[in-house]
Amino acid sequence: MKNNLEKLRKEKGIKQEELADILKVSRQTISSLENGKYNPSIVLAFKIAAYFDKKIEDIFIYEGEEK
Amino acid sequence: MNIKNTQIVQTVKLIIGFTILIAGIITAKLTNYYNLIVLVSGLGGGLIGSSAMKLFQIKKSPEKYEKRLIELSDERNITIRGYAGYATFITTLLAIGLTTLAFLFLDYTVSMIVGAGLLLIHVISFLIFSAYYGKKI
Repeated sequence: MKNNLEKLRKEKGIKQEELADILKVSRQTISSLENGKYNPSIVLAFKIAAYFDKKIEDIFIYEGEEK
Repeated sequence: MNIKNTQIVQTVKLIIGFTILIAGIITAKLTNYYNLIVLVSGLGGGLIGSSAMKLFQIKKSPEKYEKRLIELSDERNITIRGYAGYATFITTLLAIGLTTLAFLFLDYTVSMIVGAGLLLIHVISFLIFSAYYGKKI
């Protein structure tokens, strides 16, 4: 699953660490999300969407089953 | 759990620890169950030690402790622990299985039975927990 998290974070001008503090997750989680290594839980996806004032599907792009 | 709740829980644990320790010391002076009382008092001492250390860490740097709490409840870390736990389960299963086989070939009957028992407990507990979480989730 692709996402625009890095782009949105940079637009807001905040560091990974700051976003992690706001969302109450570790900095590594933000890094893994941005690299596409980790897909968030639905709760975290909602938190991220609420923080950036976007819909989940505007941030996370489902591309079908991964090979 | 936030810092405030952790402080309350740790303070309660500290009080329980002191109560167990003091009750153990008093009982040891009044009865003959010395070994048992030393064991119970040790439990109290352990509780005092662990909760005092956590309370000290919170007092010293609340921000650092909060970071630790976040690390613990972080969903990616929980996923990692889940994967690591499953890999550990398979590794232990193989290790116990191979050890039991080795005991069988070496003709160590008692050790082989103990190994087979461990293997059985391992598999049965996995099935029980799978069924439990299957109903819960």
